[in-house]
Amino acid sequence: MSSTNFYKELELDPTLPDQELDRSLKDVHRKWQTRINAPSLERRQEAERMIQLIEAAKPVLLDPSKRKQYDASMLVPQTVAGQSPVESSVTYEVLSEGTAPIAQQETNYRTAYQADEQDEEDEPLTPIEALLEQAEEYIDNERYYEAIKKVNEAIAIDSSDDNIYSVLAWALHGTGQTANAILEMERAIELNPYFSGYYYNMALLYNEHPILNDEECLRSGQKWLSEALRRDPEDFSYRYHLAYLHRRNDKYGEALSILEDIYRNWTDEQAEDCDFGFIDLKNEMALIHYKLGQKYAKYNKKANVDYYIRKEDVDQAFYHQIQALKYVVDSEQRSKIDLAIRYIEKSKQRVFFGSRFSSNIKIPIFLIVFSIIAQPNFNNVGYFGAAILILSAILNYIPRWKYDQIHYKEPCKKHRNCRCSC
Amino acid sequence: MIIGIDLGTTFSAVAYVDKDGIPAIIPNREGERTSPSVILFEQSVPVVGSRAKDEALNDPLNVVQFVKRQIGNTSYSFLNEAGETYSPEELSAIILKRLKQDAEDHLGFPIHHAVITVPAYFDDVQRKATKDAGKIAGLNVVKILNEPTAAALAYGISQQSEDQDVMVFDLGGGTFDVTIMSISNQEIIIKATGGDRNLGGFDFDNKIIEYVHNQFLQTHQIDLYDDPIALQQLREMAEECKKSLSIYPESSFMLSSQGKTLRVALTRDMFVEMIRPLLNRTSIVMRNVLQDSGMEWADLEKILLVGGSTRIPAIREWIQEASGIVPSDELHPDEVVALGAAIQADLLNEKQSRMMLRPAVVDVNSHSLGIISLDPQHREQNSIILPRNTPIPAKKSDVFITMDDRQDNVSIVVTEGEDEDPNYVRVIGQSTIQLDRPPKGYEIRVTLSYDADGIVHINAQDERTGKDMGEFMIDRKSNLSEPAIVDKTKRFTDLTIN
Repeated sequence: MSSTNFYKELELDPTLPDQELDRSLKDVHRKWQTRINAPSLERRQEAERMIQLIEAAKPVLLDPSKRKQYDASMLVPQTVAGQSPVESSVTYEVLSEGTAPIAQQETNYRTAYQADEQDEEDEPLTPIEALLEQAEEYIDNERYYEAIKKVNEAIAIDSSDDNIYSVLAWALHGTGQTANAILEMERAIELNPYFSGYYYNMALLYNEHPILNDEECLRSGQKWLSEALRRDPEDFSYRYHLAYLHRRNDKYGEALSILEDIYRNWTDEQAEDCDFGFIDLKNEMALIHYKLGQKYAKYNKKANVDYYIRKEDVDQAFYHQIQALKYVVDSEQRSKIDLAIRYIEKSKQRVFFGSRFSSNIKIPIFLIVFSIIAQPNFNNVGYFGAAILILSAILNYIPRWKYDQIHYKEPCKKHRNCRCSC
Repeated sequence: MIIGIDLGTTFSAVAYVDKDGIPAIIPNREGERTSPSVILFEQSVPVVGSRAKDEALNDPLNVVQFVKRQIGNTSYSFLNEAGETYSPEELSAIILKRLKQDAEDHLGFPIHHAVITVPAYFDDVQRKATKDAGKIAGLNVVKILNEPTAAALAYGISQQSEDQDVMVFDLGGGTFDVTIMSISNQEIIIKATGGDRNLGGFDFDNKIIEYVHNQFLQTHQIDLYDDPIALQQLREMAEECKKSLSIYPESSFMLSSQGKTLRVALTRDMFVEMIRPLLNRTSIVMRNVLQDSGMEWADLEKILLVGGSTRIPAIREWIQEASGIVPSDELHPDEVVALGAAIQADLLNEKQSRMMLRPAVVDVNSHSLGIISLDPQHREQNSIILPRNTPIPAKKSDVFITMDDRQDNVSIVVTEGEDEDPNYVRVIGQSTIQLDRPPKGYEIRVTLSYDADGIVHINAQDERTGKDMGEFMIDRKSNLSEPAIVDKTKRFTDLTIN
C-alpha cells in the first residue's frame, strides 16, 4: 500500500464520511487546478505535485472499501480483533516511523487501581501495578510504544487484570489506533463492569475518535457517559463532560445549568479528583455564554458582518456577553468577548427605525391631520385623502427589517466566487 | 472543405482557402480574427473566447486558460463547479468545437475535416493528444502540422522559385520553436528544428507578475498569490503592460488587493532585465538548431518572426545581436500559422485544390525516437533508433535478441528524447510482441516509424525467416484510449458552446 498520507498532504479531515470527503477533495482539486498556471515556477511545480497527488488519492479515497483499507493501513497496521480476552497474548508492534501518531491533548483517564491506591497507600505495589505505573508515565510523556511494551510485560504476568487493558487502550489511542483502543477498553469493562471510570474512558475515547464524524462521536460518547453517570451520578468530571457534550449538541441551557451547579458546589478538595480545573470550568461557562449571546446576532456571510434585528436581541446578547466576561479567564476568548460587547454597545446606541413603536406614533398624527382636513365639509377630496392616509398608516404597521451592519473586519472583496479567506 | 486551425496557448485562429485560391482568416462570431483560447464554465455550459477571457477577471476559478501547456499531461484534469471533469484533450476539443462552429456559421456549410497545427517541438504524446482533441470535437484531423512549417508554407507561396535558407523564429503565447528550412515556391525542406515546450508570452507576463508580487509583499506584506481575483487582474494588467512596453518606453498601472493599492511603473529597460534569463534560453535553442542544420549564421538569408511575442522589441534586438541578421516582420505574427494550415489543408484536398502552386513539404522529427533495452550488464538504457531532424515519414529498424530461453514475449518501450538514461526521456508507451517461446538468442527485427504527422508506429519481423509479424499497438499511457475517445466524442456531439 502506498505510504503517502493523503489526508495530511491534501489537508483533508480523515474523519469525514465518504460523501463529504468527495466534496472536500473536489474543493482541493478546484483550488489547485487554477494554481497550475501560477506565475512562479516553484508554485507551478507545487501545484503540479498536488494535482498528481489528488489524482492518486481519488481512486483510493473515493471507493468506500478501498478507503477503509487505506485508513486501516494508515492508522492501524496490526488488527487484533476477534481474540478472546482470556487468551490474550496480544503484542502490539510499534508502528512504522512514517506514520505520525495522532497527538492528543493530555487526557486524564481513570484506572480502577487509582481509587484503590488511596486505601492501601502503604502496601507495596504488585509487579503488575509497578509495570502499569511505568506505562502510564510513558503515556504522559507521549512515549506510547514504550508504554505498550510495558503493558505487554504486564499481560504476560496476568492476562485477566482489567487495569492492564485500560492502560493499553490509552497507549493505543496515543498512537492513533483508536479502534483497537476501544476494543481493549471493552475488554476492561467486560472484566470489571462495576467500575464507572471505564465507561467514562470510553466516552473520552469516542470524543477523540479520528475516524468517526462529529455526530457519531457525540452519540457514542453520550451513550457511554450515561452508563458512567448511572453508576456514579455525582462525579464532577462525568458531569462536566456531559455539559461539554451538551454544548457540542447546541443544548446550551442544559450545559449551563450543569456547570452552574458544579460552580456552586466547587471545593478545592473535590478539585483534586477532577479531570478539569476551576479555570477550565470558568472558561467553559464563558464560552457557553458567549455562544448564547452570539446566537442573537444574525450573521451575514456574504458581507461578513454581524447584525441585530430587534432591540430585545441586543439586550439578551448584552446580558450573556457580560456574564461571559464575568467568567472568562482565557485571554484569547476574552478578546473575542470584548469585541462582541463593543459591537453590541454600538448597536445599543442605534435607533431601531423599522420597529412598530415608531409607526405607532404616526397613527395619531395621521388621525389629527385627517380630522383637520375633513372637518370643514365632508367632500370627496376629504375621503380620498383619508383613504390614502389610513393606507399609509397600515403600511407602516408591516414590520420592516432594518439592520445595522457591523463590520468585523475589512469587508471581503465581494464576489460570488470569492473563496479567499477573508 | 478542409479548414486550417492554429490551436494556440493563448489565442487560436481558423483559416480556409477561398474559391480564388487565396488563404483567408475566418473571423469568429464576435468579428475578431483570433479567439482567446480561454474557456469559462457557466455551470456546465462552456463559453469560449473574449467573453470567457473577460470573465476570468471576476470568476478565476471557473475559467481554464493555457490548456495547451497541459496537453499530454495525464494527471491534469479540470473540475468545474457542476462536478464534471475535463481532460486537456476535452478542453482543447471545446475550443476546437467553437472554432469549427464559427467557421460553419461564416462559410454556411458544415465542416468535417481540419488540419491542426502544433509546435514543432511537441512530442508524440502531445501530437496524439491534439489529434484526439480534434476527434472529440467532431473533426477528422487530416494532418497535424508543425507551426513553423505552416508559416513557411504561407510565406513560400509568395516567393520566387530559387531556394532560400531561412530561420523561422516562432515565439507564441506559451511555446517556442526555431526551425531552419530551405524555402522556394516549389518545395519546403525542413533542415533542423528545436524549441522549448514552455516558453512564451505567458512566461514574460510571469516575470512582470513576480516583480509586482515582490513589490506588493514588500510594501504591504500581502501575498498576491493567495488572492485569485487580484492575481487574475494582475495577469491581465501585466499582459497589457508588456504590450504597451513594445510601443512606449514606459508603462504603469495600479493594482489593489485587500484594500491596499500599489502603483507599478515599469520601463522597457526594467522589463528587458526581467526577461533576460528567458532571452538566454532562446539563444541556446537558436544556436543548437543552427548547429544541427550544419549551417552558419551567414548562410541564412532571413529570420522570419512568427507569434505574438516577437513583437517585443527586445527580442528582435536579441536575435539581431546573436545572428547579425535583422529579423523580418513581413509575416502577420498572429495569423500566418492558421493561413499556412489552410494552405496545407487545400494541398491535401487534391481533387479540389485551388492553389496555383503546390510546394512539396519535407518535415523532420523534433525528438529522437528510441527504445528501452538492456545493455550487456542487464541495465536499462535508452537506445536511439531515429535521431532527431530525420526527414519524416521515416522508418528505421534494428535487430533485438532475446535474453532468456523460452521467452514468450518481447516488450518494447518506445521513448522520445536524447538521453541514454531512461529516466530523462519521455516514455511514449509500451508494445508487446508475442513470441512462440524460441530459444535464447532469437532475433527480431523491430521497425519504428514516424508518419507524416510525427506520430510513432511499430512493426516487427522475424529476422531469420523474414516473416512479418505486423504492426503492434502502442499502449500509450499518456494518451486517451480508443474507447475513451469514442465515448468522449459522443458526449461532445450535442454540446453547445457559447
